[in-house]
Amino acid sequence: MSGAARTSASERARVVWEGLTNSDGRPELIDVPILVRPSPEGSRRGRIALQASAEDGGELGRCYVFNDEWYPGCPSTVPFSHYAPTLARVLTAHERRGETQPLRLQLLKAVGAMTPAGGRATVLLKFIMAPEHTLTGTEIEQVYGCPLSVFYTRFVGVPWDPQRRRSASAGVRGEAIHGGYRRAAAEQVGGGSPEQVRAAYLDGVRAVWINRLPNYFLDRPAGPTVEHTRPVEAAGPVVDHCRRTWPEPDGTRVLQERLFYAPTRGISGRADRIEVPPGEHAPWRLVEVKSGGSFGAERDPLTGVRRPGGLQSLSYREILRSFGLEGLRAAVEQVGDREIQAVPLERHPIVARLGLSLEAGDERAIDLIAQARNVGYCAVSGLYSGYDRYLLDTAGDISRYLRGTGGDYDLYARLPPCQICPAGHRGVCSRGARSGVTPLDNLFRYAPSRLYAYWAWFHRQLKAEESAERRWLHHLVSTPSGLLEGQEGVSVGELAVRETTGYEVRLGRDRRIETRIREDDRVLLTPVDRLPGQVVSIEGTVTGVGEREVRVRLNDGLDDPRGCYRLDLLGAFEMRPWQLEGLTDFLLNAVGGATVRGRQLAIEELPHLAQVILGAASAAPPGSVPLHRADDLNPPQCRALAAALALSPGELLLIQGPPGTGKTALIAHLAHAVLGRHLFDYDGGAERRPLLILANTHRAANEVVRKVVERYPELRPFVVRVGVPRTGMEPEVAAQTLAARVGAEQALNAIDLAADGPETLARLVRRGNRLHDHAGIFVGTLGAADAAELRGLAFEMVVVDEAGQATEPAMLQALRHLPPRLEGRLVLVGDHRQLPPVVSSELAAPELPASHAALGLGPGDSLRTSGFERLAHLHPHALLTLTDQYRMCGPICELVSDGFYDETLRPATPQVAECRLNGWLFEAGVVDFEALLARSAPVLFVDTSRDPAARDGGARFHGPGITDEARDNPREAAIVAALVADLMAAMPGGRRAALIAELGVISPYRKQNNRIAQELVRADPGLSAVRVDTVDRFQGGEREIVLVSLVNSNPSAAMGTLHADWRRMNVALSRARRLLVIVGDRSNFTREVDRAEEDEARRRYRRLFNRIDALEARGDAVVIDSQTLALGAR
Amino acid sequence: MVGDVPTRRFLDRVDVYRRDVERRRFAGESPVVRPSRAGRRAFEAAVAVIAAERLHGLVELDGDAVSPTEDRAADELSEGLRGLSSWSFTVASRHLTAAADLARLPGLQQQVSLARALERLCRDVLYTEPGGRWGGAELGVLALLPTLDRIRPDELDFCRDETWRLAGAWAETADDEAVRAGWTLARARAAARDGGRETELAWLLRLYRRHAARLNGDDYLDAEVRRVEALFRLLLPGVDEAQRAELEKLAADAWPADFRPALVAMLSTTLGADLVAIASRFAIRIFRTTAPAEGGSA
Repeated sequence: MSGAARTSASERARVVWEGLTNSDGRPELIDVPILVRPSPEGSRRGRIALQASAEDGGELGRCYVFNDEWYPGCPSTVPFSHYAPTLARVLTAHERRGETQPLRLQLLKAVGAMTPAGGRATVLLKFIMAPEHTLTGTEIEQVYGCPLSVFYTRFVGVPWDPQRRRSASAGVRGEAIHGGYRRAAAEQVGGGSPEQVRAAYLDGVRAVWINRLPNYFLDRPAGPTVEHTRPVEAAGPVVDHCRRTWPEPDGTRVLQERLFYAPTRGISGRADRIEVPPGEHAPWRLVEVKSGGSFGAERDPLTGVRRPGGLQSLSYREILRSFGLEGLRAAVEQVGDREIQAVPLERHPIVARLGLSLEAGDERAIDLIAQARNVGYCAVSGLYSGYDRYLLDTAGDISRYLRGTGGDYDLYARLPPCQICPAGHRGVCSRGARSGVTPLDNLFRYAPSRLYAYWAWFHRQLKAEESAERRWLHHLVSTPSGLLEGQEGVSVGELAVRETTGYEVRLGRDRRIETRIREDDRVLLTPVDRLPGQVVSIEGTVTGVGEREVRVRLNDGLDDPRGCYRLDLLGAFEMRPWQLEGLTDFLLNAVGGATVRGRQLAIEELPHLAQVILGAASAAPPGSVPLHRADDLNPPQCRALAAALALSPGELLLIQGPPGTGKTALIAHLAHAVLGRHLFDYDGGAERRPLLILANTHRAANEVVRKVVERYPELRPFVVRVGVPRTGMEPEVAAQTLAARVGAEQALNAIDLAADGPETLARLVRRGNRLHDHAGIFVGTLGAADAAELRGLAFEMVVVDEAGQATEPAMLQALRHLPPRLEGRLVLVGDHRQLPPVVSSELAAPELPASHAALGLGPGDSLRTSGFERLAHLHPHALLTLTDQYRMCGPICELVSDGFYDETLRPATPQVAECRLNGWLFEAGVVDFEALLARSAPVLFVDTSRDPAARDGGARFHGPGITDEARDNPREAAIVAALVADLMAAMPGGRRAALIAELGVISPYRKQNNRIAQELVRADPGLSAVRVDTVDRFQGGEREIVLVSLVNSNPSAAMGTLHADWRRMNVALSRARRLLVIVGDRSNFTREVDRAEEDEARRRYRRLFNRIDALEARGDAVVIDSQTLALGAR
Repeated sequence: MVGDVPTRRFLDRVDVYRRDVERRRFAGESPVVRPSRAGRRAFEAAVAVIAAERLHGLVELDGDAVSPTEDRAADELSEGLRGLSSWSFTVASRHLTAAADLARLPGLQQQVSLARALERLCRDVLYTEPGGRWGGAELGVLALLPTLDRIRPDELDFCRDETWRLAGAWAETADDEAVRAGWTLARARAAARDGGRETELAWLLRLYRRHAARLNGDDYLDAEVRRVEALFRLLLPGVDEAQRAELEKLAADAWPADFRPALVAMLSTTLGADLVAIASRFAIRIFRTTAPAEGGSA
């Protein structure tokens, strides 16, 4: 926290503290943040001594926390209180982690107690620990159900077994009802007729059915089931309820699915609905809608009726109260067969069972929320166990609650929801162990040390990313918006609404917008007089950033079109939970796949493939088999294909594919060959399929599908693109999704959903079942390993495309669908000389014990080191490299090959080597070749070394999780724009679109890209369609013409972290087919400087520029001093 | 005389080792205590051994990793198995958890793992009502047995037979009244171990009532039943003061040690079967051998 907010909070803390020291010894309810650290006085059993300070660091004094909320003079204690034991665990964890930062507490209740000796002691009674760490309302509810389950699923990452067929239709049923209800409510509040409200509801149901159809394919219905009929049957109750709730438009606003966040409680959430009635003092109403089963839900002690969502609702109410909203009403609505039952929170079973009195400000309600929040914080952060193998193994031994909490508190649900927790099903949790599942007793201690070290090393890094993610909202609300915008570039203020179309909004301001926010970023739009997350914020996705405007697609309607807004970046970090699950799944499968149990395992006892991955066994050298129908493959591709087909179960093959070497074509051939072999030789069960292809991105997955069906149309019936048709998906790819193949959208759009919906849906599902049964090649992203289409399936072979860009935990997703004991074939296709995985650069990797050097990890390695790169170093003999490329013409290829591939890369054919831009332009109808680019050699280098105007603007943005320095170079941007405009002017009008489609501009910095895009539009509005992007987002793409702006040019020759990773330049340069233009300061990248981390990159840059000189000498490159360029002459 | 200062110095030093290892363990390292080379060697070695023992870890002595807790682990396992064979599940669970914490030698680890699997089976046998939904606990044991490579084949065979025998005994309870009565008696004994007097009496009363029609006519047993019934009657509402005094007097003499033998003797006669012998069918038998075994129970 900084600035005015911190000062204000600190002042309040000092006033409160002063009040406590002068109080009459009675406890007081307060609400201020303080910082605490263990007092040198030391703690003893049942008493924690602390030194407190204010947010600004000003000392407050000594204080204590006692067990059972005791204090000197206390008339009665609070049995089962969680505060002291939980705080003790957190402080112990801090000490064991060597953390020196004080712990933030949001103090809720304290007392200035009189000691028997006549002195005074400040005793803290109730507090929220580390409120900067956000938990969602859903997580709070889950903690209430069973903290052990939260520990296993959210910290350890125990996943469901993806090879177990687990129905997902109940979830879609609930989603459909929610989706329909949401639209119906909006329609009703807007004054729609009953027919319109009903139609809106059914549209919502239809949209969910279309988008989530694959989830139904896990069932095999003979006819419509309750999952199909319920959403349609709920139309009546929903419409009736809407009419009763909002009979006439009265000015009530309905805020749906708004993200809100209380920095003082450490809880965020998205309530289904908040109703804001007209009138300043009318009470708001908070509604949580539940439509699914009530398994594990709270049971009313008097009626036995189960109701879910109690604590969630209570928590959301508390968040709103922390904003100062009083008189709130809250309810949980249960969508039933005949009606929607709205249960006021006062009558919810959770309130009834504990006898809470909400109106009277019952402290037990605070305790209930604080306990779930504090215990949940410790559980998800692993503060109870850290990576102590003993503590991990004994977490569930004593009771169903975490052993480490130090007690079994009474504010939990009555029964743990073991049925819906994967830990019991996987044999990890002994409390929830399922019959027929052999428990993995002492999983963490009995795992071989190297396997455990591998798991823990990656796990810690993923959790560090997650922790940063959980603190982001607090950072946004506690940092002045000026700093967020000016220093970090994650916020844009003073935005007025220029245009609104539905949920699309165009915002602008007169002042120039300089930001790191770019298209596709998730953002939060908030009125400038409020903080992000205070209910009025609306989530959205950026669709474009201009010089003075931003376009956003919002999730809900804008409240005030005349208001002034700020836009904040949401989710600067991206720790995807499935990575954690894939990592832990590997641990479970490796240990579970050993032939022995019940004791500490030796690494040699793990399945062979696990040993290979852990460096305990060698990967077999590539074998070979005779090939058929591989005429269009070049020799290196043939060798790789033969090696892949020769793999034995449990073996690994690495295929390195430099740019343009035909990786995807090779995968298409492999798919054809594997499916053919499977059809002839297969003798496994129906759940064993031949091939799964997982790619790091949707783009790569789509490309694989496109190549497979284009090269082998006969494979279409067997190819499934996992997921549903998405925006930007090519039609031939979308056609391979099961949803498209059953004709879901057309079928559901053509019927009266109320009359024929369930029958049609069941028919679609049966058709989908048949198609799924016959499918043999599944293609998806790494994150789709648990997708409905793949559940219950094991594959003979799994191929990972773009493996060099996937983090190791992401790569491990591939192993989740190999047969038991990992006895399948694993093929990783990638290039570790192109871009590494994208992770937060701020987070350093933990130290790995030297004894685990056999893993192939060393200093400098981190989550950013892909599994492909590690395994390529560990098993070089299992690596095959494709060397014949089809993309770049000879000179560009030479540049890339020399700079990054030790001169091994070569054009695959003479035609590729000799292709030139003028040929392509001529075919495009260009007759005027006067433009500089049109008459250039294949490589054009515009050197700005001597151009004093071409200096970068410095590393402007910095802050938590910002992975680039956000530099720009206006002069380079102008040069790039002028060169493009110059060429465009030579194009015949009808051919300009073709040129724009084949032209790309790349720079490593978001800020420079924004500037180039603006310069292009300024030079010629028609150039707004030119793709200008970062290297990272360009990987996998290619263009006839590519312009690269290097940007960095400064007195200290700072290269920046982005350029220091030389693989980024490899990707940038290798996107070009016929013309590569580099604009930059040669001396900045080649000068001798004393920065060891840049040595390797500088060596390669020198080599690169020397090669350009050599190319220039033979007429294959042109080098121009930027000062001699006559820009804008045409 | 025990020296206060040397003792404190010794324990403080233990604490230094303990904190260091706990810190490293929290970061994922295995708990191995290495005696400091500085200072007095014997003193440091002794401190390190104690610290390792407290941490349930290993101590490195002359380059060898030693587990100083193995004997304690074996004792805990032995106590756990004893508890298991006498239906003392709480005791068994506590000892087996401790044994799992302490055991570091592979053979002993597998013995403990096997015992814990058997504990789950025994619990299911006694806690699943006759005719109820059987969870298939024997399958877990049977799946585990072939993976235990450090346990003697004859012991594995013995455990396999025991597993089938226990699961089979439970299956018989659905059809055979005498076996069901034996199961109920075993359940009462288990309740006595884990739950106390009232719980055992409740199970015995339940057994009596199931066979009440065949058991009337014995004054002593009837008197015992009245005492036990009085105990539970007092827990129900609607007891007036006059009744209460009488019931309390009766209940004071309700003891399992009196009621159980009377009921068992009468029922054994009535059913024509030795109920104690039948009940013992629900207790697991522990493998014993005179042959040496690696770190396991004998």
